[in-house]
Amino acid sequence: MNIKEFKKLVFKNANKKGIENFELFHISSHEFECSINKGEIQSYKDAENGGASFKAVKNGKAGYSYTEDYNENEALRIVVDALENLQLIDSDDVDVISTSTVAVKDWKDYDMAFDEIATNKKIADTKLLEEKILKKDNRIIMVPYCFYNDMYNEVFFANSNEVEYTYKNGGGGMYAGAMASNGKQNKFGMDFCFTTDPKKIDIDRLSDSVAEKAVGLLDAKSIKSGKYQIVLNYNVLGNILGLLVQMISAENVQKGFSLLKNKLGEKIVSEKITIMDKRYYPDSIFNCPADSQGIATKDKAIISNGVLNTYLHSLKTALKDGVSPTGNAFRSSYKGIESIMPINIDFQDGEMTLEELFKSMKSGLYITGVQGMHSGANPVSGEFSLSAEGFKIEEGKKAYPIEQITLSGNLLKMLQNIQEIGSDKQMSMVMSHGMYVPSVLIKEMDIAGNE
Amino acid sequence: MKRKLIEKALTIIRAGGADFAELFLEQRTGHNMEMNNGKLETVNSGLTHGIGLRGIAGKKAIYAYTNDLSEDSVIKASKRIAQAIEEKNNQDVELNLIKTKKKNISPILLFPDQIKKDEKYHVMKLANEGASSYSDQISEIKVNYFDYRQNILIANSEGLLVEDERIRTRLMIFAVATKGHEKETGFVGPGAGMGFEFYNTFDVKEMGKEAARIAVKMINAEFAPAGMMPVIIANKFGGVIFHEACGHALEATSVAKGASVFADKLGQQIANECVSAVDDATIPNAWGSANIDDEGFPTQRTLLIENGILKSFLIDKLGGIRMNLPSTGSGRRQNYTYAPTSRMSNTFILPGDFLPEEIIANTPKALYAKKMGGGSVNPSTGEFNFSVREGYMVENGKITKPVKGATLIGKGFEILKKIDMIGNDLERDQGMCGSLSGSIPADVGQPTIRVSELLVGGRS
Repeated sequence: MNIKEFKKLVFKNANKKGIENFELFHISSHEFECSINKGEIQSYKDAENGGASFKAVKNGKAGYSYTEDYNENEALRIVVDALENLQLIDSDDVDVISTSTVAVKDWKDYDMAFDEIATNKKIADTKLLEEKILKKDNRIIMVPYCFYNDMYNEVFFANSNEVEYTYKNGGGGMYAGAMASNGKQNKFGMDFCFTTDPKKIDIDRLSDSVAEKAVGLLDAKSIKSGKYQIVLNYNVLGNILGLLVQMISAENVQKGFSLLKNKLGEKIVSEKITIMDKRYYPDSIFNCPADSQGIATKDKAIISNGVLNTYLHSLKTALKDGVSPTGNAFRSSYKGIESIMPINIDFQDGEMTLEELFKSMKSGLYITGVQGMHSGANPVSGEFSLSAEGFKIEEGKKAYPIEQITLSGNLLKMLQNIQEIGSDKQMSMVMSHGMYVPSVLIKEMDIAGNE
Repeated sequence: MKRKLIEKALTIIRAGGADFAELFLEQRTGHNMEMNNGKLETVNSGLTHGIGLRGIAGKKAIYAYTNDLSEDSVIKASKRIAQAIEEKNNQDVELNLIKTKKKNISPILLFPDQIKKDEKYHVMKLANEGASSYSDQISEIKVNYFDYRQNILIANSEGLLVEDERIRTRLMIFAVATKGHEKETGFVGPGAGMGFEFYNTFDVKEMGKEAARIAVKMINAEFAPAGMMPVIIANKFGGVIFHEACGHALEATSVAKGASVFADKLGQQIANECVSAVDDATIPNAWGSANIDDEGFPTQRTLLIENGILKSFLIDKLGGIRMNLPSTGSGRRQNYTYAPTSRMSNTFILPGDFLPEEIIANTPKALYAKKMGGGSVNPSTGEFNFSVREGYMVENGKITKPVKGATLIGKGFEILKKIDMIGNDLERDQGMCGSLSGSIPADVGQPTIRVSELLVGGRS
């Protein structure tokens, strides 16, 4: 039975059980991935799966149940199960379902451009990427990761208020990590490119960048502990901004898990900073016309000129705060429930090139990589202490590579201390939403080293 | 799934040129709940099922999955694999599946799907009570409850046909302490390969108090100092250091490619003589245990390091082909959407001779990492990082003030040689380990250990 037939059965059962408000969220995903090692296929994945989640709302309480099997038994089981689940809820928060209509007519879905590429070509390109990286420099001894990946999701949403829509998003890309060695020290460098448009993947540029990142760090040493002026590479800033993403979730704010509680309308960071959340960003694989609750997505300024403008809301958090939902309640899978998430974070860029940022800094550090965001950073307090690598900058130029240091600070203090914003805005490697940020110059941060 | 269809799928993959064909069928029922400040907010449950098919030809592996289990769909997926292999076709493929029996090392007393949901709710309530009663400084408490029942069937072209069932249960308690504008968190997350009887094995309320205790301790702590210093790492979750700094680099995934710092070190001294470590998936009812791995091989206790000498890697089927070594029963995957690869199960450093108090008393100045947070490693450079959730300073052989915000960084092959004292208080703790084949339950563990010198990232 297909999903629309399944929906009819589920809705019939829900009505029979006397549930007033309910919805069905369905997502089906298609994925192709291959990786190459030493010219041979290392892994190859060709896959599809999907599932549906039923959400029942009664007296403001919501219960969920999911399935991957669309048959009569399951169409009844998920209704009964969700009903049983909601009866346990004793939270005072009121859950509702969407009554607004979502117009997806003007929305241009992902055009499936990657699906039109022949599998052989995908494999050949991945081989070429590895080959080119290895050829760049004889100190590159291996390319442990060399991947091609494309995927798309089809979302179907329907609720008892007759809100119903489907959309498709996705894209593809390549990523690779190279290992360079000088005989004493191994260094690892990686880069990626993910887009909705296969023509935007430039294998030459990608191989150059991966090779340069690995080789550039060879002969790295640690430095003295202390306070340094810092240029943060766009990808590093994108990673650290993951903390901000958690702080602006209205759910975290309402539950007391965010420092930004009661800060709406206040200046929370440097006035140089404006951060938007956009429903559409050119070539982003995360673009979408609606969230997972039947609310149309929209562009919004989260921070304008340093002032906190809005939190990101689901229907439930918006109702609690007496505001409109912002269309930011997403489900990454039918197995989970909604969580609040941006679509494409767009950090307004400045005018300085990376070289100009170095010149402006004169002496300090250029941080190109951090590790440990999932453990060394605390989204509640905003404090972080991360393993880092990059370059010592002297007289406005790269002097030598550095390793085995930690970069510590507090997110809001760091954003308060931003002195200059670069013009090199790019996508950061964040898995769950778009993150487009430039490199920045920061007045001062704590570095621990072992020299 | 009918045996005939299983055989058909494997035959198509083999006939397409694969030396080895495998089918992994999974059905899982899961249940999870979230409570915030004592109020139950989310209850979600459901059923997933799907099939993963794999063909290996030479050193090449092709994987496909689907959750459409109709004959058409399974045959189509098998044909896609056969096509992608691009090897000479095998003319005669004989298949003779023999059902294997396996020993059940983790008997279950109370199956979670037969327990009323309000009994699970009661457990969460107790955890919440424990945390909230601990101190006025506790401002928020979150409790997550999880359980699942996973039924798998694995068949391969070598004639293997085996079924298994895994039950896992976990409670996660997250407490926040507030002082002025500052917030600090405490966390505990006990789990096991057990049913609901798990909650008879410890005091849930005390566990809630423990999460609160850490948060309160840290809200009243100063920032840790920065720089090189000796570090004493307490038992239980402290074992994450070995998991990250060494365990991942012993997985065939990186060793086979030569992308691990330990790739050519078998039989060599890689750690201080006092260090011995194992990966043991056979501990009854442990969080990371299983009767068989996700390729159908019996699990085992693998001695990884003995008196500092590297004894074994962790090997899955494909890694074994690539390395020309037998499997150690270490092929694992999150679910049918992932091809299996070499992973850890319950991995820990074996106990030494010292009392933990002796180690502290013998150390003039150090950071004492009582409770570790998570971490990560790059196996090709050996560089690791992890965070200290609850830290103290050791001065003149005594634990003194609490410190927060410390990160430990270093290189795996260096730290193993710098472990210079090992306690006798081995204990394990639970975590989720993420890698190529997804996120899987794994135990870490160790006795209290001392590392002679490690870079502490902190302030001042």
